[in-house]
Amino acid sequence: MKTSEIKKLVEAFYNGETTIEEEKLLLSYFQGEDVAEELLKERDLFLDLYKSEPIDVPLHLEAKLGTLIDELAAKETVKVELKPASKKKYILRWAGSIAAGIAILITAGIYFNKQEKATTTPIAQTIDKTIDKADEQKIKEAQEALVLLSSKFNKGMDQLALVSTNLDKTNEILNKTFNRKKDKES
Amino acid sequence: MDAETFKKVFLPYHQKLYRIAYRIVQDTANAEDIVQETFIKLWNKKDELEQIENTEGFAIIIVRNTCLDYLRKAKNDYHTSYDTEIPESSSLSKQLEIQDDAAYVKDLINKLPDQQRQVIMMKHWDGYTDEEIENITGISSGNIRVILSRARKTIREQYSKIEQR
Repeated sequence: MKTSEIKKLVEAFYNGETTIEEEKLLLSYFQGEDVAEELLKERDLFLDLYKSEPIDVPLHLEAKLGTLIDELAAKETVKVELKPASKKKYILRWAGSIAAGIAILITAGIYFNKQEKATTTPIAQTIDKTIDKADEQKIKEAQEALVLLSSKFNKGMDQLALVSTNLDKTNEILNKTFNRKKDKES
Repeated sequence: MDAETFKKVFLPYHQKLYRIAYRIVQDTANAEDIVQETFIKLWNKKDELEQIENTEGFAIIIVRNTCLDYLRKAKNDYHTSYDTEIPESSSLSKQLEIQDDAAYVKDLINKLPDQQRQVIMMKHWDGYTDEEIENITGISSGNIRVILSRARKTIREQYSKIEQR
């Protein structure tokens, strides 16, 4: 490559106008042995400009970042598990109570339905039997007998009430006599 | 995106992200903190990440923004703190003490304004393309060329002054 061309490239370099390829070209030219004498000073500076200062990445950084991510993920799963779990429980409780309510209603419904069936059939049967005209007279007689029994029972009760009032009176008299005796003794 | 997938995708970028952070903030401990903060930010955005094709580019933007936030904060702290000692600018005699030319050029690069220093280091030392530097720094490619030109010319000027003495 001609020295004049290199000179042009060097000027373009300091004007910030060179492409990566052109810069690579300059670098390989200056690193080579055939550098024109008039460009030796340019060579020294150019090569110094590219003498990089390596950045050493701390060795522990990758592991540290790995742990950091695990911690962030763990924090998040705790949050995620807690919130929806409590919501789930809440919903389950509601669903449970609703289900229980429905179950009670169904069993109650079934129970009463069965009960109704069980009671209606025998009543219907007995009604059918009692409706026989032949038995009507017997029922009347039984009813009269029951009325008689109840009136007699009431009379008996009245007499019992009388007896109990008499008993009260005799008790009062007895108490009085006892109290007198006690007074005398004291 | 679960933790294992996240690790598989993003952990391999950690070296590049650290180097970028170090280039911008020029401090190992802060570069490490910034990378960690970047990973936390990425994790928090993991639901959006599944739709992003260029995950590396995305991670670079996050690390750059984290660095800029750090620098902004550091600048504010610097202004509010009265105890901070203003570093002495190294005198010409000190510069002359540097016998090794390469070390001297490095010193010149380090003394450049932030943007010029970052761009020249990324371009010369890290071998990034203009497009990559644009992604990392957010500076347009046109401006990158201007910044690069200023930085190179300044170094050449300073270098020739020493050569003349």
